[in-house]
Amino acid sequence: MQDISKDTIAQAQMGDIDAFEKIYNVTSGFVYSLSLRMTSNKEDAEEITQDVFLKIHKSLKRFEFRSSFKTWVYRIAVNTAINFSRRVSKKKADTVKYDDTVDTAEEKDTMRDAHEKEHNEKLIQSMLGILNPDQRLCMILRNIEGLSYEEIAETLKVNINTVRTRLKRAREKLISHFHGKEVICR
Amino acid sequence: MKCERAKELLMTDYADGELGKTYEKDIRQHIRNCKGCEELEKALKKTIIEPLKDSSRHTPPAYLWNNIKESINVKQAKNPIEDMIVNLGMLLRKRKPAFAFATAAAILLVVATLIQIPMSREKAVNSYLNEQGEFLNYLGNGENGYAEFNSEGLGTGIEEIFL
Ligand SMILES: [Zn+2]
Repeated sequence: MQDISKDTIAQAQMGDIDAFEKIYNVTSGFVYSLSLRMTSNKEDAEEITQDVFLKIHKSLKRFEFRSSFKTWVYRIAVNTAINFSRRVSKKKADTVKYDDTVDTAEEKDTMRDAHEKEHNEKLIQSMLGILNPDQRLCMILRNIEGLSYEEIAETLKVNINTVRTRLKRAREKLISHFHGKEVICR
Repeated sequence: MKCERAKELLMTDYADGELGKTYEKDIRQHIRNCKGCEELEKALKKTIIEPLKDSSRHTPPAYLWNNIKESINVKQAKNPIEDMIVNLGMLLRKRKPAFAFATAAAILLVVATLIQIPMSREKAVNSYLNEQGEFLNYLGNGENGYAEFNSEGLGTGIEEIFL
């Protein structure tokens, strides 16, 4: 995620909507992608994204630059998305069906690339659908967003070993699913 | 290194580049001599790590920003006074308590005078002045009182957002 200047944040804190739009432009890709990965559904992802930015707007005035702004946005996004997913996953079985309306953003790609990407996207969603919301979130933050264990722990406000355990369980589940249990247990 | 330990690291710190150099060397050596662990490493890389790394960034549809902007505008139009108080509170937090009190009192006087001009809104003015009283109480109570003053939950302790 690109950095946001202190000036921009300060202007947004004073109610400057253009400054807030700048923040939105830099951070909305992360928020929306995360929401989409967590829910596999465009409408839900839009709802979560909107909710996240209204929360950011509401609480921006009390952001005091003690933590990094990026981590602060991550935390709001992550918590909103996971609460949503937990609610949904209580209602239905834990496997998330891939929503065919989810498509990739880059339209400039050649047809072949686009086809490969689409295939990969479906694979990713089916992988993430196997996991429970906590495991899914850790996998997204680590393997898609590239956060370190420490950054994930900080974002989720959990112990670093909890991060490790969730990732381990997630990967065990995925390996067993795609290759059979014997790859791990032999 | 034992297989069990190697597999655990393969699925966590090793896969994520969180392992120290010495450990990494140990693990590589183990993989060279252990078919099971070699297979696990390959499987992890091919079916999990690489596909996820290639995932694309999604952008929200353009109308979403318009929706958000509209919601913000509606909220602000509904609560212009509240918004002003929050702004004021923000300004004051940066000052020393005694000075903050004096500033608040001064601003309050000006605001109260302005508000009293349209007398038809007497009711609104009264409830507004009540709020102002609470606000002054908060200033006497220090930081903690602030959260209570914020009946609408404007306090933005991050925990509060997530409740
Ligand atoms: Zn081994």
